[in-house]
This record gives sequence, structure tokens and C-alpha cells, in this order.
Amino acid sequence: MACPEWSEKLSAYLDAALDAEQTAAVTRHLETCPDCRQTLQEWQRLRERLRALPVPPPEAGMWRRVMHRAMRRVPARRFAMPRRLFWWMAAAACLVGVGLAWWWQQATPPSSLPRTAVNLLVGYHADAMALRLGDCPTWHLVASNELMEGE
Amino acid sequence: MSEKRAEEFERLVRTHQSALYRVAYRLTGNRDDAEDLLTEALTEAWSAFARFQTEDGFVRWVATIMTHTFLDWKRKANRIDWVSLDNPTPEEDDEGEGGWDIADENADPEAVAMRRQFWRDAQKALGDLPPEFRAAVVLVDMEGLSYEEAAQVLGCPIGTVRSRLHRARAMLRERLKHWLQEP
Repeated sequence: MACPEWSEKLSAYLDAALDAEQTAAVTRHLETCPDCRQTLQEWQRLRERLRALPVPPPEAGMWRRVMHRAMRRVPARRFAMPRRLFWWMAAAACLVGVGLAWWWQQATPPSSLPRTAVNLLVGYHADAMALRLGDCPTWHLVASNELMEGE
Repeated sequence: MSEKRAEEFERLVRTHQSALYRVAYRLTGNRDDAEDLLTEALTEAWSAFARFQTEDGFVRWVATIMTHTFLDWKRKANRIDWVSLDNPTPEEDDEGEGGWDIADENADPEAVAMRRQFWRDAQKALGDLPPEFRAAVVLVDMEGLSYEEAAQVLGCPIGTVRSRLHRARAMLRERLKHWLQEP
């Protein structure tokens, strides 16, 4: 382990990034400190081995894909959502939204129904369903009135 | 942008593609992320190419964009999948990452195994560094930039580069100690 007070200077010494005075001071210290000498040697080996660390070749067709996207400003793969997936997700979100609104309309007593956008969107449709099912006499009456008003 | 400018951009990328890919790979540690990083950086470079003047600094310019994009990804979210022991390794998949030029049919099998093991240990140790430290190691230790050049790329003072590099080296030395002993 290098001497703590010399450690950072030793790292900069390795990169020849110290001024002449500091370089001379580190050189003098190294003559008397085997721990710092060992640290310096190991950092030298580390740098050599890292620099020689092989880089695998890119995957086939990588440059063609990269340039195609870069020149057309298409986001990288990790950020890109396939167009078809986007439309399927949009359609699914719409269906879920309408389904939830319809369910909420069914589950809520008609007298307490607020006049919301959802109510306006699916209200008459839901009322017509209730009319057909005939399972809610009160609602039946209200729905009939609303239908008549609507007409 | 004009067709001539597009051709010029493509020519510059073709000329320097191995250096650009090497920096991207060293920053991210795997091929998929290197490809995404290159895509993002070259998209930005192409958008700003009208302002780019001299060919000399093309690699440095794109490397700067890549480094900032990489650090930005890491800051915003942990989007980069660091190389892990779960990823294909030379021993598990010679066609995958690591199996390309480490393997040599004529080489001593033991030496090949050692090189593969070092590659794997080094990738893991680099991947465990804080991103700013890793960027400093990539730029100075692996790409051979001076502190001044690395400070320009990272957009920080020289003293910060020096300090990050020192701490990164101390961490890497600790992790890879058994590979750095006297032979």
C-alpha cells in the first residue's frame, strides 16, 4: 500500500503530469519507500494490461444500423419502440379505458351519476344496455327518460 | 443538410470507425450498449455537423459526445447493463464477447485461459467503477489522452481528472491485485 500522502502524486507521476519540483520529490521518495515503488509498478502493469485489453469486433451489420439511424435521427434501439407495438398499445389503452368507463357506469347507481365526460361518452350506450337487459327497474325508468330527452 | 455534407460525414465515420467503436465499447463494456452509444452520439454529431469545421478533431469530438451521453445515461437511470458474469464469456461462448481474438489455436491453452480470465475480471472491475472514474480510466489509461485532453472531453478541471484517476487506479489495483504481482 502506498503512503497516503504520496499516493495521488504517485498516480500523476506515472502519467508524467507533475511539475519538475514535484517529480523530483516523488523520485526521492521512491528511493526510500518500497511500498510506493511496488504500487507504482502495479499501476504501470495495470495501465499496460488495460491498454492491451482486447475489444471484440462489432456485431454484423452494426455500422449499417448505426449510420441508418444516426442520419435519419432515429433513436437508438434501447429507446425506440416499434411502430406496430406503439399502435397495438394505443389500441389496448383505448379499449381498457372504454371498458373501465362502462364498468364504472354499470356499477354506480344512476341517481348518483355525475355529468362527466365519461358519462357523456358511454352513458347512453350503457343505458341502452340496461334497457335491453332489463335488470335494473329504477335505471330502466331513468334511462328511458334520458333516451327520450336525447331524442 | 446537403448531400455533399452527408457524404463527408459518412466518410469521416468510415475512416475513424474502429477508434469510435473502441471508445464506445470501452465505456460501456458490451457490444449492444456500445452500438446504442454510437447511435446516440453520431445522431447528435450529425445534427451539429454543419458547425463542425476540421477533420482533425473528429474522433475527439464524437468521443466527447459519447462520454457525455454515457455519463448522462448513468446519471438519469441505470440504463447500461454492465458486463456481468451472466453475460456470454469466452469460456461459455467462443463466438460471443471475449472469444474473438483471445483464443488462438496455436497458443498454450493455459495462457489462453489466463488471458480470458483476466479479460473477464478486468471487465467486471471496470464495470463496478463509478461511471466518472471509468470514463477517466478509459480516456487516460486506455486511450492514452493527457490530463488536459481528458479534462476537455469530460468538461471538468484537470485536478478532478487527476483525483478520479488516482481513486480509480486504487480501486482497480485492489480488485485485480493477483494479476498485477511480479511474474
